[in-house]
Amino acid sequence: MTDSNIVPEGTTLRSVADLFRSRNAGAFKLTFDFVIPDDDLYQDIRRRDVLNANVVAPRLGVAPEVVTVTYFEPVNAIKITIPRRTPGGGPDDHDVDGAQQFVTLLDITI
Amino acid sequence: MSESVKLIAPTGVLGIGFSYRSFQEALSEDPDVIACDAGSTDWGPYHLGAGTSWSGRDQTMRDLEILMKGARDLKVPLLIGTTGFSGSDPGLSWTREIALEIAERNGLSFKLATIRSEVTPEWVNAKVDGNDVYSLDGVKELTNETVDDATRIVAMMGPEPFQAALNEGADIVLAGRASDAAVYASFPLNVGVDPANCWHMGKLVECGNAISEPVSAGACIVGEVDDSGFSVHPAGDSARCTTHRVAAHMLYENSSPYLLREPPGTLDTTNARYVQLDDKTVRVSGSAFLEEPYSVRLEGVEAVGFRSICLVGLRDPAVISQIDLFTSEVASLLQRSAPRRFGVEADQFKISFRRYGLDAVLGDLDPQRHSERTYEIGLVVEVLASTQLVAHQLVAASLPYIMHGVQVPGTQHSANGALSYSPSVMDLGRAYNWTVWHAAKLNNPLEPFPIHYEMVGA
Repeated sequence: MTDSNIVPEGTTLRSVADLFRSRNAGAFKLTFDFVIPDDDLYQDIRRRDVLNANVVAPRLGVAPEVVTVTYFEPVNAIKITIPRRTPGGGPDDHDVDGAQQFVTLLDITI
Repeated sequence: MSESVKLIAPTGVLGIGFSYRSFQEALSEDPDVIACDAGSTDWGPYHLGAGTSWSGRDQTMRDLEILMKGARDLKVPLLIGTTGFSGSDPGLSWTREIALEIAERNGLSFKLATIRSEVTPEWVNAKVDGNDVYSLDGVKELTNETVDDATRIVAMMGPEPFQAALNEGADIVLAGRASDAAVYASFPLNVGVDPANCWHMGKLVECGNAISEPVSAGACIVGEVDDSGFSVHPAGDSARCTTHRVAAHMLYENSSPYLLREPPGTLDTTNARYVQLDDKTVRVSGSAFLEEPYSVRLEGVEAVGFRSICLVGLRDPAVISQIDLFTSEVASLLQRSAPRRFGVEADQFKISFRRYGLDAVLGDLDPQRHSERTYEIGLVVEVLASTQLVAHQLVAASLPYIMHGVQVPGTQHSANGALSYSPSVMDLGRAYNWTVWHAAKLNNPLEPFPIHYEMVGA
């Protein structure tokens, strides 16, 4: 991954996103949304493929092959979707609607 | 000249509340229909399993009463989908009872349609055996055994059952499990408005005020749809829709913002354009709808036992620094004594712990699960067992071990934690898990959705 020439080295995703969340997409999938308000930075992140499957998979406890990353340009969003490790609200689940699972992605350096 | 339909979407979930004033403003805009989603799978399998709503009766009644009175005043249809939060038959009956009580209290009379969505194991097995069922989201293939073990299975209806009820003159429609967007799309689809616009509007208004700001205003959304597109705005002056909020909502709880599968096909929003018409109205156009073989999602849950818990506050640094050792000792003591004291074998119950303040939320993924930095832990002791009594007794039996029986080095006979409540043992009832999450091909869109009609009131 090449470094950005827009933000300094070590800049985290959290510091440049003005929306970050995770939720269930149905009972078997988790979907994460990040919105980068700065247009240039969004395109830069997209071009350099910073939030790729190999980077996010270990932080989410899944294999890279099951990660999908989608760019939604109308709002400068990056969407990541993975299968849930356990069904939503089931006996082994501690986050019924998946609302806090985005936290492990916040300190990814972009 | 194409048909144009004006719709009110009062709130994202019936029972969650909405601004009364905004709803009256919406009524004054002369809508053709009022529609509201009443449920979700997002809060877990319990509601489908137990057949009860997350909301209390009064919460749901408050919202439904305002909607029914408004709909009857204007003589426009009112459509409610996924009643009782999961669309179960008991949830539908519960909602129907509330509606009848509202009708009686207010002297309302109308034609009521109720549409059930629970399916029998026989029906599902016939679909499985006929190779008409396929997995969704990577769930393993559906077997007859899984079908037979399910507590309850519902099929998620599309717009057609609502349309059938409307065409039979129903004034109020209460439906079991329904596609969220279908509840809103059904009326405009029924008068021939372009499907892509109906579905896209349905997807955007189904969470109510989430597409407006500030969300705290609880504004009701008014949608206007025709063949060229649709627009959305909040009723009244307390909020506004912006292109950003509206477009961003395509992300919410969807795997993809572009391709969204519904029973009759797929909504493709790849080429959609979001335009700010005035300071509070957004217009959307450019989506497409691709027809595909008709299929509905089956949702089913299986009861997996009963749970009881206790919440113990840990604050002693010595206990916190040795938390893993502590909990494994408690588990071990319970595991050894349970067979003798209660006649339950070790494989008939499961003890687990959650350590809030340490790693309860993110588990093994948490980069910060170092107990040196934590000064307080909310320890949840949980037992899952085959009966409520066994679960309760095992949690109750664990308490002396937690408080005194496990001697943590450095604690000098103090009790190890703070009991949070009296009563200390909380029974959580049945636990469920999702076991059916599969698409089923239908012979026709109404196949598993019987519609019952009745005249209510004078």
